[in-house]
Parts: sequence; C-alpha cells; structure tokens
Amino acid sequence: MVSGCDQCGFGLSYCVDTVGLCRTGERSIRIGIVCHNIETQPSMRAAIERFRFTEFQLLIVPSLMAIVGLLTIFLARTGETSWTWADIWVSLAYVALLVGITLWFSASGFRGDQALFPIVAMLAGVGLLMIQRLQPELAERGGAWANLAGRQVIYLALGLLVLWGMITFVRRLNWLRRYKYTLALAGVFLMVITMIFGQEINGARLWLDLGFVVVQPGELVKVILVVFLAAYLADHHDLLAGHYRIGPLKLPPIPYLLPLVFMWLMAVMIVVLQNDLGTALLFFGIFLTMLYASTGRLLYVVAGLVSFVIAVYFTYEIFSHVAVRVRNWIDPWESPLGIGYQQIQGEYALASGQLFGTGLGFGEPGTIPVVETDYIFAAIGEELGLLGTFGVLCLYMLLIARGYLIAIRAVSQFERLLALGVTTILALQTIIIVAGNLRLIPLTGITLPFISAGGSALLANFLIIGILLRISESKWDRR
Amino acid sequence: MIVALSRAAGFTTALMILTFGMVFTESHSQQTWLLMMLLSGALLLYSIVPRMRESIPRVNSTIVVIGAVFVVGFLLMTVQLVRIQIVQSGDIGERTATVADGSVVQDPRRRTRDTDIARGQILTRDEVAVADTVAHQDGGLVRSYPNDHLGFLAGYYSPALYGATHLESEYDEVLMGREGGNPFNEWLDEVLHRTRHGYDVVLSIDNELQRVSYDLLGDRSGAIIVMDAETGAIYSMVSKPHIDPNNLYAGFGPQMNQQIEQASSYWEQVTQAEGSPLLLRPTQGLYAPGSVFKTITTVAALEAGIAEPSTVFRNEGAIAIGSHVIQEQNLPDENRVSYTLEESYGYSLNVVYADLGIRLGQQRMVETARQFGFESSIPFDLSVTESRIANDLSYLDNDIGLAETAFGQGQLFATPLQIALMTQAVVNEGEMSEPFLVERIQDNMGNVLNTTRPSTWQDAMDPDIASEMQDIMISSVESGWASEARIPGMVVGGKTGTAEVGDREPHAWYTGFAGAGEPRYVVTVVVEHGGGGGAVALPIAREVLVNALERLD
Repeated sequence: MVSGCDQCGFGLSYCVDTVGLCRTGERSIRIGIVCHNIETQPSMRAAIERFRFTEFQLLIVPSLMAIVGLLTIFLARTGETSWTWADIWVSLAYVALLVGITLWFSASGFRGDQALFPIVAMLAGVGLLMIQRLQPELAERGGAWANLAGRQVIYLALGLLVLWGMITFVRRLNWLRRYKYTLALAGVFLMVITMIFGQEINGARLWLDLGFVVVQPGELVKVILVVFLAAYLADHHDLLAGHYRIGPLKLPPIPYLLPLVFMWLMAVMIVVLQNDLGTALLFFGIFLTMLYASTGRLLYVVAGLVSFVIAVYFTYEIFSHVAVRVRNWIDPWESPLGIGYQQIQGEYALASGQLFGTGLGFGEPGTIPVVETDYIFAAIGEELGLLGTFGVLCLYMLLIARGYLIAIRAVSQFERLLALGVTTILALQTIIIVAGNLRLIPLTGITLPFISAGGSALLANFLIIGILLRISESKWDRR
Repeated sequence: MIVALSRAAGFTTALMILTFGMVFTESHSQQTWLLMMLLSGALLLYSIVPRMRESIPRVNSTIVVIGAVFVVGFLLMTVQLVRIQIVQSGDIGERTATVADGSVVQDPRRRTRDTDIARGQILTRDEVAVADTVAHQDGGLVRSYPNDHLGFLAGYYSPALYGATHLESEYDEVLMGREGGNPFNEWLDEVLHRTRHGYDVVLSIDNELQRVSYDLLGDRSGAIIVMDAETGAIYSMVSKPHIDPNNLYAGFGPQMNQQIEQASSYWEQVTQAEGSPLLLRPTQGLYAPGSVFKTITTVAALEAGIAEPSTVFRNEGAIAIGSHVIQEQNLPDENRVSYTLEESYGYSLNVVYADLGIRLGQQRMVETARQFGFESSIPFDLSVTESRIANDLSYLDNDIGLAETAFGQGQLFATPLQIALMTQAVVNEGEMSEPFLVERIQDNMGNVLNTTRPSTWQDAMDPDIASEMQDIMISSVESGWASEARIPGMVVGGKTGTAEVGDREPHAWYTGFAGAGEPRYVVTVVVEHGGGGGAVALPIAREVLVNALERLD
C-alpha cells in the first residue's frame, strides 16, 4: 500500500505542505499542493498512516455528549446525586459502537470522508438522548410505545451495523446502475403493497406489518428512487441539449418529459391515496433537485413546482384532510383542543425554551402529542434552548455541505447524482419537518433524520451515510 | 463591481426586511411575515450564490446553487427560531384561549412553574404572617391567610382562576423569587435547578396596632390608616368590609378542582355582596372628604396671603351666593359673629370657608389641591385611585362651586390615603413623603435583600405655612370641636369631618396626629355613613393613637 496525495490523486505522492506545485514524475500541475515521493514503508508505518485520526478525534464530542447527557437525564429523573456506570449503559454501548466502527474503518484501510461519521454520530446521539429522556412519558402512553426507548437503542445499533456492512461488503456502487429498472419496479411494488396491505396510523397508510415487526417501506423507497433517478439521468446525459417544439411550446426532450410526468403523478397519488403530503413533497423535491442538477435548467424546476402547487391546490379543494392541514397551519387556534392542539403545544414548548432551555429532563415535552417523531425538534428547543436547536441545525448544515462536497468530488456522473440525491433526502426531510414545527410551512408527518424515533427511518438514513462514505472513497478506484 | 454592490445591497435589504418584520408584524405565523421571509430568502439567495466560471462542470455548479438554496432555508429557519424562542417567547407562552365548553387552553408549564416554587410569605414588621404558603394535608402547597385582620392586605392569589390583586399581584415576581434579589444568583438558581424559594415581603404594619384598629372599626364599613409622621411608613391599614382571600385561592396543586369550585362560588358571593368587599378602601375608596378638606383651603388662604391664623371673619349664620343660601350648622355660640381663621377651622365654620373659597378663586384652589396630590396617582406599593377636585374643573367657574368645594363638599372625592398624606405633609414641614407599606424584602433565611428608604414625594407647602397649619390643627383639638381627641401629655392635632352624601347618613371623618413633644403618628379614619365625625370617627382615631404611642415608642 502506498499513501496517496489526496488532492492530486495520482497515488504516488505524500503531501507535506499546502502551497506550491504538485510534482509527479514529469508532470507538474499547479494546484496549490506540494507533493513528495516517499518510500513505501513496512506495514507498521502504513497502519499509522491510514489511521483515521480526524474521525477518531471528532468522535470525542458525541461520546462525551452521550455520556454526560444520559447522566443528566438519569440524575434529573431521580433527583439524586449518586449513580453507577450501569445507569448509563446505553451511552456506554453507543460510545463502544462508535469507537469500534472507526477502528474497523482504520483497520480495513477505508479512506472515505472522515467528518461525515462524527457528524452523524452527534445527531444520532442527540436522538438517542431525547428518546431516552422521553421514555417515562412514552411508557405512560402504554401499548407499542412502552418500550420504544429500548427498541430505539436496538435500531440505532442496527443502523450502525448497516453502515459497517456497507463499508465492509459493498466495494463498488456502479453495479446498481445496471439494475435501475429492477430497482424501480421493486420500489413501485413496495409502494403498492403498502397502499393495499398497509396499516393506517394517524390517518396515513405508511406501515407494513410483517408479523414480528412493523416497517415503513417508504423509507427504503426514497433511497431506491434516488438510485434509479441517478442512473436514469446519468444514462441520458447526452440527450440534454435537445428539445423539440409543438407549435409555440418548447418542450423538454422525451427522456426528461416522461419521468417528469411520471413523478408528478406519483407525488399526487401519494397525497391522495396515502394522505401523506410530506412524503409527496419529499419525493417531488428530490426529483426536481436531481433534474436541475443534471440539466442545469431552472425552467424545469419552476414548471415542476408550479404544477405541483396547482395539483396540491386542487387536492386541497377536493380532499378534506389536506385542507385541514393547511387551515391548521394558517391558524391552529381555530380549534385549540382539536386539530390545532399538537401545533399549539409544540409552540409552547419551543417558546418556553428561550436561550438556554430548561435543561435535559427538566421540561415538559411530554405534553406534545407524538413528540417522539413529529415534534422532537420542539422537545430539543424546550430542553436545550435556542443554543440546542441552532446547534442541531448547524449539524445538519454541516452534514449537507459534506454530502454535496462528496458529490462534487465524485468521479462519475452516476455517483455524483447519487451522492447529491441521497444528501438531498436528508436536507429536504430536515427542512420539511423543522419548517413545519416552526409554522413556516404546513406540518407534515415526516421524521427528523437520525433524531426522530423510528427504526425504518434510522436504517434508511444510515444506508444513505453508507452510500455517501462509499462514494467519498471512490476516487481511489482510478488506480 | 456592480454585481458585488447589488449583492451587498440585496443582503442588507434582506436583513432590514427581517428586522422590520420581527418588530412590526404581530405574530411569527402571520402571512405578511411569511411573505417577508420569502422575499428576503430570495434576496439572500441572490446575494450568496457565487458566480461560477464556465470551466466548472455544469453538475458541480448546479450543486453549489442547490447548496445555497438550503443554506438560505436554514438561515430563515434560524431567524424563525430566534423569533419564537427569544423575541416572542413571552407572548407565545402567555397566549390562552377559552373553548366553547368553558375549558381553558394554556401552556401547561405555567402550572408547574408556579407550583414548584414555595411562594414567599408576606409578614408584618413583627413577623406575623399576612400570607403564608403551607403544605396541604393531602399534599401540595396552599396559599393561606391565617389572620383575619391582616389577610385582606395581601389581596387574593388565585393563579388558576382569577389571577391576583394588591400585594400578591404587585409583588408577584418577588414572592416567586424571580426578582428583587441578585439577578445573577436568580439566573444561576434557574440554570442549576436549585430548589427555588420565593422572597418574603415584610410590611411596615404593626400586628398589634393593626388588630386594635381592626377591632375598633367593628362591624362598620370604612377605613383606618396609621402612618409615620416623618417617613410615610404605614403602621396600620384597615378596610371593611373585606374578603377572606383564603376562599379565593385556586392553585394548580392536587386540590385544584375543589379549590376552583370553592373560589368561584365565593366569587359570586362577594361580587354580589353589598358594600363591595373587594374594594381596598384606604387606597381605592373615594369619599367626599367633608370638613377635613378645610385644611387644604386654609393652606391656600395662608399661601395666598388673604388671611393669617388670627384674621377675623364675620359669620352671621348664613351666606347667600346669588339665590343659593349656605346655612351655618357648626356655630359654637349663637350670639357670636366674629371668629379668627384658627377658630373657624376648629369650629369648622362653613360660612367662613365658603367666603374664603370665593375669594381664592378657581386657580388657587385647584393649584393647592394638586400640590397636595389631588389628580395625580400617589406612588405607593399598591395602586392608588386618583382623588378628584371635581368631575369637571368648570364646576369651579362659579361661586357656588367654589364655596361648596372650599368646605369639602361639592364634587370632591378623596381616598383615605390622600387625606392621611395631607395631614402628614402638615406635620412634616410641608413635605409629603412617599408612603410605603413594604418595609423590606428578605430571602427565606432572613437575609435582607432590599430595604425601603423613605423618600419625599412632593412639596405641598412652605415650611412656615406648614408650621402655622400645624398650630391651627393643634388648637382645633385644644379649643374646637375635636377637643375629645386630647391625650394628656401629648401634642395632638386634628380635624373632624362630616361629609354629606345625599339622603343617607354622612361619612364620619377624622384626620390628625399625635406625639410626645412633636407629632409622631398620623391617623385617618373614615366610617362610611357613620354619622358625625366628632362623635364616630374621632373616638376611634384617639384610641388608635393612644395605642400607637404606647406600643411603638
């Protein structure tokens, strides 16, 4: 193994400085990096060189947060000052998993992005803490919620397992491109069986009961959708320039027009049949973003948005459940004990947090219905204050920036669109649910990535991180 | 260059729109505000999307644009967060609504916030509880007012139903331990979740004196105020009839429903009861002052120089103003027609004062009354109703109005506190003190956090006029109708008043002072529809003063 210059990508050099010329044999390119040929060293040296120091150091923060946070929650709940390590075993297990994974990455010579995993660990840690904190409130509700906090820990462990599996067993992603239609069919199949056999919870039909566990296929479908779109758009790359006219109308080429119409129909179907405005918005948003990225045509985005708004407007007129959501957004005080109740309680919680928050375990987020998914952000706002909510938003911003950076650095068009698409899933979900909580848009039942309770969502999100990490390493494949 | 400038302008405009919107739109979810957000979002996007060179691959430049869109989205969410969590957090938390079935939607945190804190006590200066927080036998904390003669001073405290009044309302933040101490420590307590104790409010009220004056008023309606002649500290303040605040308490504890039921039935009862027991008479009761107002007319005459204490006035038993005849009712001797100003005050001769009023004229009458605090709100620990010279000052345009006002009738209305302060100014060299009821704030360990420092409110008159007025009031006790008020060995001065109120019995007034060597205590008594001031109010006032002199000196 040779260590390579990250910036010039020729794999023969080792960076020691950040200004100057990059020399590799006869070639000399001015890119601001000084590279030197170095001797290949025995394995000990190589092991040290591929150790992921940055990632390891960055993981200190989420580890400390998980331990101190859970301790705070435990002490706040009992009102005592004595504790044992057993009281915070959940956090200790989490930290052990984080450390185990980063050590495994180092040991296996994985060279992907080092900032992504710590950011996700931080977000998932916040989610872990919030669900642990909400445990007594959830237990009071009984039923399936009683052991949600316990289950969430298992889901988190499974999510990390998915990440580990992605890095360990999936070496390349390009093969996905060949199976795009198979994947699309699988996605449609999943959607259809959910619509037919799905369980209806809170008025939306999104869950599939497999007997031993209830899953949300929609979470996987969104990843499949991105894979399909990335493959499709990458394949039809060359057709971009062409367009044809029907009379005065300038229409996009058929390969773009078809999926546009198809996606639009699908989004409207989701609104109408599944009563899920959030997912429709998410799917359509992903599609428009990827379409814009590959064509660079703002017009498609505008046309898509306008047609979507028109479609939603008509469903608003026809279907009462959409109308109720919109009315509730405009004024929840119209029915403060009915449909507006959740939104009002959420606002009370956010407002009571002020700058510093009440502190973990000292607020009353349990007063918000479905706080563990829809309103987890408000619970953070109450207990961690503006500093907490702003911190969480910054983490998402970093995550998104990192994802887009990976997309820009990706080597193939397919991988670029794939990285862009999966990052956009996370970005759009965050915006849709947080802006809904803040009453900037109507509230929809979408999860806050890595923080909201829910196993399927967590697994899908870790799958996304796995994909991103894999793509971030792909530039080494050229050797 | 132009692009850079227009970007900077776009950025600045967006910030200005957001600031403007945050200040001038009412709510964080109103459509105008959302539109402003949208507009500034577009401007921000314009100002932050970098210009990309042609050589950059198209996909990469579109990714940068998409990233910028999300940056703007997150910026706007942050702005909204700041608005909800900081700027408007108070408004949102306080918003409530009443639904059709009568139930109230409010922030559930309010309850815990208030039930977690042991609300501070209100104590008399000798540490007898006016209001106390005690544990209920079935758990939870209850506000209690153990003493009948003190409890009403606190007002009521009914957070779950009727809010709070008087001291419970004015000192709410202090009693809850949120204000009055070291702000840093209060913040630290909150952040560290230390058990919070409200601060105790210690009054200048003397328990024994308060009990004596409370008992002296008996079943009659009215008010008594005993005040320090120099500092304005209130030693006793009685108001009858009054409520029992214990019955109005409704907190968020375990007994909430039962308390609400009790409080609302008691509320019905007191709001329909005769004599408005909810009114705290010393500060909120407006009464025609009757002859005690002659003090102010006398001061006006002395200031204007139209009379000296020894100036002789003729009183022929009646005075005619146009067709209006004012009959003299207070003549000590049917055969005497000449009285000095001093004697006229002592014998409370309406005819002399009617004449003085006409001679003083509207401007001087109104000015002097204002110097004494009429028509302004007296600074006090409780809110004080403004005393009135007339419903409309044009009432004093004619001689009848002037004459009637000069001897304390007309359209005059004064609070007992106003009359007590008037007397206090006379014995305090013309300076009217700022009256106070709260002497100090202390924490639950007894550490004093804040002590009220006596201060002057306003100058009512010159010191030499005050001293002349004081002598006139003393001679009124020595040789006038108030002679029953004499206390052997003490300097005593005062004025009785009998305020006519239509067909009913007149209000009985007495205001005066007493002390060894120099005036120490000011007392004001009003008995509603009690009869003659000298016969009804004066004996109460004398007894109160005797007790004050015995106890407090």
